[in-house]
Parts: sequence; structure tokens; C-alpha cells
Amino acid sequence: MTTQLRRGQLRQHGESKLLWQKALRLASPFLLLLLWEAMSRFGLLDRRFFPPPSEVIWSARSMVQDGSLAAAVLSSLRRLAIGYVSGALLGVVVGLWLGLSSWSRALFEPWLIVTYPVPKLAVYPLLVLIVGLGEAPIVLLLAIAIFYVVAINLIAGVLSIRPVILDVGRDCGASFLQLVRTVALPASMPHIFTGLELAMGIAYIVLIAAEFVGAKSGLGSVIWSSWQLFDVAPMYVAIVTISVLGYVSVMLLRLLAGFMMPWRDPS
Amino acid sequence: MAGQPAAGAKIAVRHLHKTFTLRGGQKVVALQDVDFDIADGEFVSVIGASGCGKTTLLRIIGGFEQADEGCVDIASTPSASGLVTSTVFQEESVFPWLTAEENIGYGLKIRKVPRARREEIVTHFIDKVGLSGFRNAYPAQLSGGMRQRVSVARAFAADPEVLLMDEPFGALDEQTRLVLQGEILRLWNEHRRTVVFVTHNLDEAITLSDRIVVLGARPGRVKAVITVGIPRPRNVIALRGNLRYGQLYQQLWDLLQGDIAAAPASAA
Repeated sequence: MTTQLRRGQLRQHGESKLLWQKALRLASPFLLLLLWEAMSRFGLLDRRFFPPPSEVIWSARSMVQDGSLAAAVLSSLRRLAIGYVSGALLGVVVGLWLGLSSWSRALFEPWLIVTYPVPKLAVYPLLVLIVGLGEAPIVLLLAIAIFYVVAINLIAGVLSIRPVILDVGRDCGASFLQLVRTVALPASMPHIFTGLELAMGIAYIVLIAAEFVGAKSGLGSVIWSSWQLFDVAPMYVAIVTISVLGYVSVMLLRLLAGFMMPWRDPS
Repeated sequence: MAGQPAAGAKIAVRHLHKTFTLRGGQKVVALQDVDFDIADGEFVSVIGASGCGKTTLLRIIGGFEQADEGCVDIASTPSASGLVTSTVFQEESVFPWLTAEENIGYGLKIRKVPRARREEIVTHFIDKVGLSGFRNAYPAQLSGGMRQRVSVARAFAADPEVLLMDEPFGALDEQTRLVLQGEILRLWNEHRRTVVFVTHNLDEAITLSDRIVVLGARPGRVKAVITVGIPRPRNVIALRGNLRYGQLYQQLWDLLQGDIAAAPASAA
């Protein structure tokens, strides 16, 4: 007895299946929230730790209305911007310098490698001793954390430039500074942006942790004080805000990367 | 004649020695007592088996490497505003972050040639290498052959006294190679200057050169200097029917044959 086996026939529902899966993917986070809401309301989740999302939204509304959310976001972003930009600039300069000069690399790279694994937060108390409480130690800590990631990525980036590319610059009569500006910098631009993106994630971690203990304003301090008051709804508001800010920062960074490197993905 | 370039010589290569130490301490003599002259405006090819030191020789002439002994004297004309040497590299060497025209004009910009003059030169050479429609294209949008055209145009646009070419078409397919050889012949006819052209391709050496320096391998030394003597202007394809072409091909092959058979598989 034989059976007919038919293969390769067009499946009618292929396309609509993909469409439904796409819709499901979009709806999925909201389904999770819905599930959370229900479980919290019916007592399956402890309301003290997991208040229903509707309650968090109410809390967010009042924080928006009284301006406390905007104030927290502003003071956090101000620290982030100053620390991130100064750390990144220093990282680019040192990264280019150590990447291009084998003598400086021989002397200074071991310093970087030895100090890099030190958790940056561990240095916070020391910074407070040196520069005092307030904004300074937080911004400094951010700058240090960002500096390492950008510099170490960039050294690797400069070292991965094909020698012939630098030869072309020399062949055209470029001086050392011209070589840095017109060859090494653009050639390692992709590595700079990889470093900047990694650094962005680290920046938020360091910022929030430093604000837990060292700040009376900012999103980190909102989280910390709502823990102390045992009022968790504002904590959730701050956590969601941080995740949105992190996402937007990375998107802006990618936009900047596309603007700075139109040659990477020319259309 | 040692130490003194012959009258009219543009480049005097004098008793060059160069030894490389491989990892593990083994020494390889790349160049041994390499000594020859190149006349002003002459097109000279350097040919040899893989690993015979021809690229090393070119890099020493270009100032990228130093010889252990000996030297290269270039009779530079002080009035010239351009570079002494300009190089087309074997490897892909256009800047991916610059457009075709920015790549071609890069050297001019470095030397602060005024914008209008730069535009003029770049336009001239971009037309010459047939890339007028791709002025604003980034290298990623160009084929391998087009990118090498950009490199050639950049070298010519720099207006050097001496053009150095290190197997510029080595990575290209045969058809593209023939087309680019034709373009080099035309460009050089219009912009005569001294050229040192390194290749392992016998056809290419005969097609383009006035003279061919044959380097032996391990150690790299001058085996013969052969005058091509085929009249110009030349046509890349028609040339191959020339009786002299066949003779030269045979002669070069006889000189190189032993080296190629003896070359170790690892030779770069």
C-alpha cells in the first residue's frame, strides 16, 4: 500500500500568520501588564511590592502634575550629560593617543588594564573624601566609568586600522596631527560609537547607584526615598522613566552615528 | 659608478640590502645588493617570483621602510609643487569615509591646494578613469575595480615626480585588469612621469614598461634588466600579436622559472 505525500505546495496562510505574529509581538508587553494588573487586584501578587500598574500610572500622573518627575529627570540628566561628555572626550583623546603611539601604550596601557576591573562604585567614597559631597563626586564617577569603556574600545579600534590606510595618509604628505584628524579619527569612528553605546548603559547604572547614596534629587534618589517610605509606586515610575531615558539615549546616539558616518550604510 | 647616479637618472637605487628576521629568529634576505638606475620619465617594471622582495624595494623607494645598507637617490626638481613620490597600493587603500572625489582630492587638500584648483584637478582625473557618474559615491558603493581606479586617480592627481605602483591590479579579475592597464597607458601618455611598477604578471610588465627589472628570489637581487622596445602608443590587446612580445615573454619566463619552482609554499 502506498500513500501520496505532497510537499512544496504553497501554504495559503503563510502571510497572515506572519502578520498575526507581528501583532502578538506588539501586544505582548501590554498583555504582561494586564496579567500583572489582574494578579495584583485578585491578591495573587503582594500589593505592597507589586502594586497594580493602574496605581503606578496614577502615581506617575501626580508626579507629572506636581513637577517632581520633571525635576528628578532634569537633575539626573544634567549629571549624566556633564559626566558622560567629559568622560567620552577624555576617552577619545587618550584612546587615539595610546592607539597611535606604541611607546605611550607600553607605559600607560598596563595602568588602564590594572585599574579597569575595579568596580567604579567602589571608588565613590574615596571621591567624596577628595571632592566632598554633592554633584562633584557623582559627575566624576560617571566620567571615570565612561572614560575607561571609550578609551579601551578606541585603543583596540585604532590598532585594527589596516596599516595601508595610514600609509596612504603618510604617502599624501600628512603630518602627524593631520594623520590623526583625517585618518585615525574617521577610521576608528565605528569603534568610538561602539564604546559610546556600551558606556551609555554603564552610565545609567553608575548614575542611579551614585544617586541612591549621594544625592537629594534625581531618579536614583526618588527610588531610594520611596523605598524608605515604603511607598513603591513612585519607585516603579522612576524605574520605567530610567528605562525610557536609556532607550531614547541609545537611539539618539545611533542617530548621531548615522549622521557622523554616512559612508557606513550609504543608500 | 657606485654612489653616483648616471647622468639623467631620476632614481638611483644603490647597493640596497634588507634582511628580515622572522618570528623564531630565522633571517630572510629580502634584498641583496640591488643596484639600478631609472631615467627621468621612464616606465620601469620590477618583476619577480612571490617573496623576492619587490614590494620591499618599492616601500624603500617610497620612504615607508629603511634599508639595512645602501640607499635610493631621487633627483627631485625643487620647483615642483607636488609630491616627490605617490603610491598606488596593492591592498584596497581608498578611505571608506570619503566619497570618490574626496578620496582623489585628499592629498591636494592635505597640501592646501586652493579649493577651485582642487576641483579642477579632481574633475580632470575622475573623468580620465571613467568615474564621472560616481563622484559622490562612497567606496562601499563601488566595485573593486572602481575603487582601484580611485586609487590610481588619487596618485596621478597628487602630481608626483615619481609614481610608485605595487601590484595595483593584483586583486582584480583578468578583464578588469586589462581595462585598467589600458587606462594606465593612456594616463601615462598624457601625464608622463617616472613610474616604478611592481608586478608578478609578465603580460602586465611587457605591456606597460620601457624596461623590466627582473629580481631573483631569496636572496632578492637583480637578475637582468630588459629593454622592452615595443613602440608606443600601445594597445593592450593588439600588442600581444607583436613578435617581440612573444620573445620577451619567453625570456622573462626563462629567467623566473627556477625561482618559481623553488619558492616555498609559505612565501608571501
